[in-house]
Amino acid sequence: MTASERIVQLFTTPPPPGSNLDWFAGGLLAIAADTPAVTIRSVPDPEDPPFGRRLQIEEPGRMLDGVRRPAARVFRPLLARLAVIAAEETGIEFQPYGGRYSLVRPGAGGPVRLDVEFSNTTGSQQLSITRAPVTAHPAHSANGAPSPPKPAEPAGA
Amino acid sequence: MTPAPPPVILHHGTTLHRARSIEANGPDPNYYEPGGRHLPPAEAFSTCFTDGRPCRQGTAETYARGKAANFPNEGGPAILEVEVPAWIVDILLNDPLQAAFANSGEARFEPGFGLEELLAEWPNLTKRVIPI
Repeated sequence: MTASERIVQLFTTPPPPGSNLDWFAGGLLAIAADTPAVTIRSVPDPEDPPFGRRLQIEEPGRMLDGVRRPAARVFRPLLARLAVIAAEETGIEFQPYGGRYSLVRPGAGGPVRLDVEFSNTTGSQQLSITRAPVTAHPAHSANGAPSPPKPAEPAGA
Repeated sequence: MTPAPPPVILHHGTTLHRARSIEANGPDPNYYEPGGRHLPPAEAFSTCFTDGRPCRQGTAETYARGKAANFPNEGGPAILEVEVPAWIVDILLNDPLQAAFANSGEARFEPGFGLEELLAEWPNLTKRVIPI
């Protein structure tokens, strides 16, 4: 399975009874540790007005578009949970609406660093994760640095 | 006769102006943030449980301060406290995904998942705005 397909499977699998968002967070980070880079963005779905959203999942060489409910419902809470995890693990200030951070997770060949950039606002919901060796220079200048403002996405029809 | 379970007290962190508007009119899934209608609507109404469980997606106070920082002309940060009937919260708890959110501390009302029921009951609910 591609990383995109694994993410769709993760997001569409009902979580086990008693679980919380860490079930999704851990699953997503494990997939990201196995993938050079992945970007997930939530965009309005004109085929499911007025509140429907769909996910676009992009990895090197491919894009999976049109992932709808229930997968798209988990995305915003998951963005927030990941940001809290980053604050807990790295000591940075929790940034609810966007930012950058790095996490270390087990990879196939040992620990890897996951450089994360995200936005979680009404106008922009996106998560980009780039895998790097633990000793490599971070993709962003400083852990916890706010992301540059992203242009607002136009609402769907 | 078994007494009804007590209502569930939830907190929503936002700006003072928005908290007062929501208190009076109910959460508006069609709400558009200042910046024009090219942005999508709010969609869901997110709250934190206040029963001592940690809110693992961030506390209501954190979101209130963040929202107030992004919209500094809206009266500062505030918490909207609302007592929601247990039967409405049960709608969330009966859905696997919403239950996972709840286990992480968030009561998230979305279209098809408790939001309609919450809106219908809103005028009857006990609410208050707490500036922070």
